[in-house]
Amino acid sequence: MRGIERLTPYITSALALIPLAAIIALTSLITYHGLGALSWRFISSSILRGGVYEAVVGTLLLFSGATAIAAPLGVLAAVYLVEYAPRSWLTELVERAVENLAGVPSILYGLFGFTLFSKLLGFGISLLSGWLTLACMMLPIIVRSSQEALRMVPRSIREASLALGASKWTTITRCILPAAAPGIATGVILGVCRVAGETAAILLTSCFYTMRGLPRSPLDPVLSLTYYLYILIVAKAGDTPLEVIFAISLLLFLLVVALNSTALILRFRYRGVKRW
Amino acid sequence: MRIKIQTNSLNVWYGDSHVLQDVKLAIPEGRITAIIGPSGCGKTTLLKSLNRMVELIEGARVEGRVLLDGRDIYDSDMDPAELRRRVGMVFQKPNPLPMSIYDNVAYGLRVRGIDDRAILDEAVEEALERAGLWSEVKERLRDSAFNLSIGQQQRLCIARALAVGPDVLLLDEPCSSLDPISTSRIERLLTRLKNDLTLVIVTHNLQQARRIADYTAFLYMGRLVEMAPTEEIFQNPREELTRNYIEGRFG
Repeated sequence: MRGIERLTPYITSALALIPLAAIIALTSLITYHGLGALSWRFISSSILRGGVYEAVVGTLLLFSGATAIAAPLGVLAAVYLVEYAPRSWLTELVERAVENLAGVPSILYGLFGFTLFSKLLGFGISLLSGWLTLACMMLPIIVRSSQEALRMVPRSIREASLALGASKWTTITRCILPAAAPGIATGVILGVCRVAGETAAILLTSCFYTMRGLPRSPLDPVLSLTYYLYILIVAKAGDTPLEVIFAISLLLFLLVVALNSTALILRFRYRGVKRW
Repeated sequence: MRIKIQTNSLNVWYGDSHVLQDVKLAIPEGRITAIIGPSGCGKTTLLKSLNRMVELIEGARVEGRVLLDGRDIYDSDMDPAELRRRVGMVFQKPNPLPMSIYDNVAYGLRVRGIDDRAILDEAVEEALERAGLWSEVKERLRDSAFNLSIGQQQRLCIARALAVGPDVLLLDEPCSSLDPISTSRIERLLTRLKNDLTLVIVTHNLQQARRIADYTAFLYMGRLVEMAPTEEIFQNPREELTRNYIEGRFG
């Protein structure tokens, strides 16, 4: 027993290094192979001329549109659940459902989006169908983290505002939401992270490889970095130089890392500032 | 002497527990009334029933009447927000809003739709002046309220309540988290304020009640045992229970 006692710190720290090692290996592999081909020219020229411009713009369009739909809806749903809904089996059920939705595989969202938005509502394979599908994917994450952020706002702040003659809604908009804003923003960015690297859900709802140029309306299909990468790997295997594939991977990786870091920085900066 | 607030057979329940039982209390205008009693006797609940803050507690149920200037505050046509502008409240732990000193004081006016800069500036200065805080903060009105000391934060909370122009100020153990110097500043402040306000203060500190209150009400296990001028309560209470509490035989 004494031996295990003494070895535990070494074993646990060795285990803790595994994720770090994995991240370093991944980063260096992608960077090593991809950095050579990654340039401003590569990003800004059309796919037809060997670039990825349409896919970059498509990715940005997809997740910003989805965020614009999901963020207000998610925050309002969280406000309802935390501030208005009386504790009951129904709200309990909604919360459990939200938790479980966050873990549903994305291909199922894709299938759902395809059935509902593309077919039933007739939006077809389009940017709009993609927005709505991705918004559904982001919603649970945004709702949950907004709920947590709202619950962190102490009761004393609500009391202070109400005791000054503010209505409940005024208290929410002027005190509670601003106080919870860093937490909410972090949740929204984490939601964006989930969909920025998403492939399966848009594969079925919004992308055509034969799409050329940028979508001219929300009902046009769109290309994204993930989808383009998938096509290059699966459908056009062998035709594409490896360094181009890795350059796209690197671009995608940098995008997600940048989003994640923003979320981290936000959380870190406001942790110290807010005291109650 | 005019009665500002009158409660008649006031009963409050939290779920199944009956925390206030048949409380009949008359609070005189322009005086300080202290509510004393052991922990859990319902002091804070009684205070919170006077501006309907009690309704925010989950499972709370109120019966009976609370008359403010003769009008029942639990009437269906009484707007709780409007009521709370007339009956302000200061809490046990200073609870500044997460914003600047200025914005804290202006908050109650802004939520009423007053946005005129000149009016707000004047109201903020006046309220801070009345709370005895102006000279300490006038150079840093834009600072976060959290940068103030705890004692200053509590005076800020009083200033914030005053800015709305209430007739009554309810204070729930306002000094319990403060040091003796801050406490005596607040006591002096309250004594000044009674010239134009009716004050009701819940306190654990019997000496404090004795120092500042004109009237004292003794509450025990949800019932009002007696209420009388402070000196009478402390020197010659009618009830044996009151005497035992005052003399520290239980608490």
